[in-house]
Amino acid sequence: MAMHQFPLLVQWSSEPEIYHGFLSVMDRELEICIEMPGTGAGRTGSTLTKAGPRNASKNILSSRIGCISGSEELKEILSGQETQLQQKMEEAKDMASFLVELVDTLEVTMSNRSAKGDKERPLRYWTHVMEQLDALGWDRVTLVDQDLSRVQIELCDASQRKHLITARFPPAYPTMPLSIAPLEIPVCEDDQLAAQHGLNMGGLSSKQGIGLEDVIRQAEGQLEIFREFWDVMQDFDERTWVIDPEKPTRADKVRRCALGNHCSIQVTVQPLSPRSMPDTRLFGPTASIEPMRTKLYQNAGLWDVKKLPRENLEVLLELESGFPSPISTNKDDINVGCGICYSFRFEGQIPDQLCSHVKCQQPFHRACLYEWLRSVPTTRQSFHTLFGACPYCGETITTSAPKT
Amino acid sequence: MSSAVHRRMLKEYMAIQKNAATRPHLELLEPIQEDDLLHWQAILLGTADSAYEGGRFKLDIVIPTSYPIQSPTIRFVTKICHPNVHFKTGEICLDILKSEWTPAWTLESVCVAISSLLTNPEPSSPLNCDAANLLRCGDTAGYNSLVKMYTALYATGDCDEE
Repeated sequence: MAMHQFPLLVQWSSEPEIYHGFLSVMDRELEICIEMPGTGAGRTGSTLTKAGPRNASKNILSSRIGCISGSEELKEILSGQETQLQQKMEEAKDMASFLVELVDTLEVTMSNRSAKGDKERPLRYWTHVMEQLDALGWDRVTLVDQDLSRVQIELCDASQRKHLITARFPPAYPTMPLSIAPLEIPVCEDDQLAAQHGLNMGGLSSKQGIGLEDVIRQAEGQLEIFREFWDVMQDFDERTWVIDPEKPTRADKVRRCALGNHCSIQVTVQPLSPRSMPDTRLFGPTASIEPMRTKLYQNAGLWDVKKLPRENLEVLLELESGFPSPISTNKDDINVGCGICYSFRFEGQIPDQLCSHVKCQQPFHRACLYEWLRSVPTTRQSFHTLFGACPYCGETITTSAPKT
Repeated sequence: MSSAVHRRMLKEYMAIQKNAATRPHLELLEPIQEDDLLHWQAILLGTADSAYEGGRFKLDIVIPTSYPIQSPTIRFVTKICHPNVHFKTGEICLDILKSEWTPAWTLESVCVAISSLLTNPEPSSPLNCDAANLLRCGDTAGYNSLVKMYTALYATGDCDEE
């Protein structure tokens, strides 16, 4: 028996012939146990119980030339190829020549796997990553990938808002630095002011040698800078009906708040001085928003930076009962759907075309109204503007082609 | 647009189910199959004290994919004697289904309009000349007995018999 090709296999007994040891494939040692029926004794039954590897559960392969069992690792690599190997084993003239074929198969399978990027990471990687996470505290980790390459960490700012930050460990960590996805923060146009706040807009630095804990501390510093901004935005989100954006992110500094009667105000807050007077824009039927615009200008002197912008706007606009809010009003009363498609949000648009007749004020999406007016023979067109009848009250209504 | 029509039909469907109790002359208004919101059926009840009393009239409603820019196509399945309904095809002559259609109408309001058309015929734009001529001559008694006869003949049994 030419088993000497496999130096890591040791003969355990000769009757029956049992070999136990390792197959060396691609720098890995796979535990294996081979039993061949004795020549004259006619014993074909398995006696692997004495010699089998500790974690071997069953024979992986068996035929007239013998049977093979192995560790879970070996089984896992060979899974899916058993039938093919079984056939090869039936055809093989002895165990040694079959083992050569088995090693070939293992080599092919394992090199395919590493090509798919499922590369084993070195021990050094695991110890360093674990060290970093231990130092940070596992209670702050909300999500980890199976190979720890991506870790999501939850940060909490002073106002108890949760922020998520994602760190990625490259396979060559710690030789290569870890990378951090930028925090979701608003974009500041005023570079000078940003510089004053020591804000590095390029994101968080993660040079080699800087640990996860330091990066997180840096991120917490950034969160503190914008804490007041988020306080202001959260106040808008909780105390008004925000009709746009639909799902505001931490980076959004614009809110369009419903005022009722088909009117709304769009507020653009400055991230670094959130309590100063924001840029505002009023939407709605001209007859309703004109007096509001006048009030905004006349009362501008009443703006008080100690108050929240929402409270200030309520004073300036002379809203006695404040903004309509989820506490005081029903969503359907505020989000009046388009009179044509009946939806509020359609392809990202909200119904902002209103019938100008005071008693009608039916809102429409620009795209819906345009399509309707185009289909009516009595509609007139002048350049890009269509003049037609409101589908509800019949008064003249105009619209232009929606941007494509 | 086809997703828009489905969303609108779904909203109409929910509103119709909510208002079911408020329409005495509309026995039924629902999609024929639950997974096809573009093909509906309705059953109108003849108004009491009218010649259509006791009749149940089935309507077949087809929603075009361009709805509500275009009007639904509605026809009577049950044979009915009415100046504005074609006796053989069930076609309805009603301005809001043709030139006067706007997206402000809904399936429900259109069915109510058809129901009120039964008691308020427009003999000046007839699809059924015999019925219209009786009205134009002022022979209300003759007209009413004709309508009663056809209602008893076709609309008092099971609607599905065509």
